[in-house]
Amino acid sequence: MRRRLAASPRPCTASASAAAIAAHGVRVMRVGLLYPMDPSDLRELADGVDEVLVVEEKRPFVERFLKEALFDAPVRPRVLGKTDEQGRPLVPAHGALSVDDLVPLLAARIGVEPEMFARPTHRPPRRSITVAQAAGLAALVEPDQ
Amino acid sequence: MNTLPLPKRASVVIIGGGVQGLSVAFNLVERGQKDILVLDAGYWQGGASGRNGTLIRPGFASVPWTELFILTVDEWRSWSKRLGENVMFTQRGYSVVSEAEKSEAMLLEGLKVQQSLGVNSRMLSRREIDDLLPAINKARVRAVQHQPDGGVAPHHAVMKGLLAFCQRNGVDVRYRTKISGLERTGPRVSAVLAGDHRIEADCIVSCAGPNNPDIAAMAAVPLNGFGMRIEAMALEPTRPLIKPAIALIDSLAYFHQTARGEVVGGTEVPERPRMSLKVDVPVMANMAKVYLEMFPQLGEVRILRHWAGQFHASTDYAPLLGEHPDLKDLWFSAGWSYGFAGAPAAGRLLAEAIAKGRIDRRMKPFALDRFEKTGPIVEGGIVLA
Repeated sequence: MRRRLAASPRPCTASASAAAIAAHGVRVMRVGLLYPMDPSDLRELADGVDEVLVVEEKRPFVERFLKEALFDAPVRPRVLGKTDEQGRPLVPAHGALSVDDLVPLLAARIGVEPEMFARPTHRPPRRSITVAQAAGLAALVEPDQ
Repeated sequence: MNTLPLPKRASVVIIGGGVQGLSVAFNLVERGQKDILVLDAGYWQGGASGRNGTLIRPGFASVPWTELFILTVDEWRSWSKRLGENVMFTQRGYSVVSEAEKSEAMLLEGLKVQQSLGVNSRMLSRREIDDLLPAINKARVRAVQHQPDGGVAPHHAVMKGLLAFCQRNGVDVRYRTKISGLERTGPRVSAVLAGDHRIEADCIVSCAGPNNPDIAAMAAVPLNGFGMRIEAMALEPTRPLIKPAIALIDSLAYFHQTARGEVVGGTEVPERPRMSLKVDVPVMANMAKVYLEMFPQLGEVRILRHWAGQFHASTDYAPLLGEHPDLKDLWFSAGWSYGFAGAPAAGRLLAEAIAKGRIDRRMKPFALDRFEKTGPIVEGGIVLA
């Protein structure tokens, strides 16, 4: 089984989802402190995986530290972050990253449907309707006379 | 909460602990009145004082309304200072929007009245409409009368300020205390009955909102009007979209966007006596339709809450202010359809009349017997059917 790995400097994954992605051979390292970062931690994390996906907001700091740490390693996994292996944009470099942005991205990388990862939520299902939906009821419901 | 037994007598008993009743109490305290008792059958802010649209404006289309509401805006401006509590009155402006020729003419007539009485009010040019109301559907707008001194005051802040002031100043305020009758002695009302308990009073002020007709019935005197239900709704918060408070006189709707971004407002419902707090889906649908037509960007916004409130509708929708012509010492602040906005003026005028015996000329047109004597007040500038 191919093993992949996602490193995230931001805690944005609930533990239930972490277990779900672990089942697909994904390891997660949550980076608390950006600098200084121990290269041996990064090498240990990358050991035996095919691919490392670095998830960080804005510019690729962790991604570059990781590439530097792996430069002299005999076997180097592919490192993906701001761009994929073909140089196309992958993790957005603008705005805040949300679960909604990352789930499809990660699901595509490991080849599963995004629905595999239930989004953590504490909100009850929304029962309220929008102004436009309510306006659509205007001619349908008999007014109270 | 006061759990002591009810007193045996009070100088003034106010029936109703909403914004009207507490405003009367506050103004009486300022005039040195002691032994004030406020009785309310319901809970704090449970009536229209906690359910209204919170809109305030000085200018209408008739002299009596405009004079009363100029006074009320002046009072609103000084309330935070006088109460020692921030009532959060903000003069963000109030725009009255016309969609038809007839209502435009009414706005122009009203403008003359307002300007002759010194209200800061003007008709907006198309360009000013673009600046002030960028999100409004301009195809629907025929004319806009703008009153920069109008605005809003969140009712929770107002009610908290009034109650805190009253409690600090020895006013005995009792919620969940229903009265069962009024006692008459000769030409005057002399006591309030709460079950077996009798409270003698020099003066009784009914500020009972939709229940005012019931209070009049307890005293066996007639009172114009009936209790009526209207509805309002709040949308989920959005970024600032609408700056001034808005009244749509043809669509019969009024709303504003609160400081936290919710659009709160209401539309009118068929007028008939209804003592119920049940909401009606078609009313919400109609309200949503008006929003969607006038502010298309609100289409995607969800409706958070939809509720009903009650008020006392008089024949001309104008307040009934003053002593009852048939029964001495029984006063009313009743018939209100703009009661939240008008409460500061009403409290002041009634307190002056009760404590000092001075009937202000601004209160006289709203006398309870106007229908028999001078006829109803004709006011085209109110958003009511």
